[in-house]
Amino acid sequence: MKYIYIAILCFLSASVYAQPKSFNGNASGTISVFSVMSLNFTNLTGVVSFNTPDDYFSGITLNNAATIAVKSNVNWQLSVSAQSAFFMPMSQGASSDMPSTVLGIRRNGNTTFLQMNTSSQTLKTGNKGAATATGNTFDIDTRINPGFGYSGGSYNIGVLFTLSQQ
Amino acid sequence: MRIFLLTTLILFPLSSLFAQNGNNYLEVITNTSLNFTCDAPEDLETDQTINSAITVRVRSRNNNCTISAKLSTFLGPSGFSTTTYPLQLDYTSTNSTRAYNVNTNPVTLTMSNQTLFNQYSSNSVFNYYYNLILKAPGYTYPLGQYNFVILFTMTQP
Repeated sequence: MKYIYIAILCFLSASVYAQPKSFNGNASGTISVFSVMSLNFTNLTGVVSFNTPDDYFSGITLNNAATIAVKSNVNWQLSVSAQSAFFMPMSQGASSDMPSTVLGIRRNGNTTFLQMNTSSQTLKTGNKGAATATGNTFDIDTRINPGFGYSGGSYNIGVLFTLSQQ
Repeated sequence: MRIFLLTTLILFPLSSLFAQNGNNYLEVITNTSLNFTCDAPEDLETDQTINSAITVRVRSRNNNCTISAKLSTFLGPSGFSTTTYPLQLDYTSTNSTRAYNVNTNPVTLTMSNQTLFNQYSSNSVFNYYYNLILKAPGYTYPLGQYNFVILFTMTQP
């Protein structure tokens, strides 16, 4: 009986010796990813001058007036609106009733301009990604068509671009 | 009496096997919280480093040893699925005089063990210092919290 006992012990011992010994320790942590959105404008046009009758007949269109680059880790929507219902007269004699709808903005490649008003209108939507992702960098065109109804002078209006999650 | 002596002789060597003890041990010390936050474009576009994040303390008296590391857990929010992970261990220094084959390049952690260094047997306890790097995750990781556990293993032949 004792030999069986010894044999079992030897067997267990041998099987254990065959295993490499290992010791463990660990470290834990977290990565928190929040919604990140970024909007960058380049090549913005400054003052637009109306110098010829044709400018008044047809309005002035500025293709590729600006480049917009979006970075976002969520699917996004870019909206645009005028900050006021009327252009602000910046010189003596300029009209105070020229509406924001005189200004139109579109994504380059579209045919229809969005007429600006104080309500947000969707200019473009896109998928999450860096600025290099397809569709996240694009140009916009602007069109200003006041006609003959307003006095000559300098005018100003603010345009608000709002980037949000879809 | 003979049985007792034989039993003792057989079992005595086993005592070293179960020695997660003063002679042979691995201790992992986190010197700061290992938490990364991505809430700005630069956080997603550039690497973040927690300096001196982890100290690995090793005593391997009985034999030479190999120290390796892997991710034992990497859980993300709904929609997260990947086979590549954005964490790296970056060796910075050691006070060891018994280390060899130290991987001094940043080690990208995976779910499989990767060797960090070897150490010859020694009576001394040695420290190995590591930065923890979050590689730029980019804009495609789903929003939410990711939990990870890095498992260090000391193996003796």
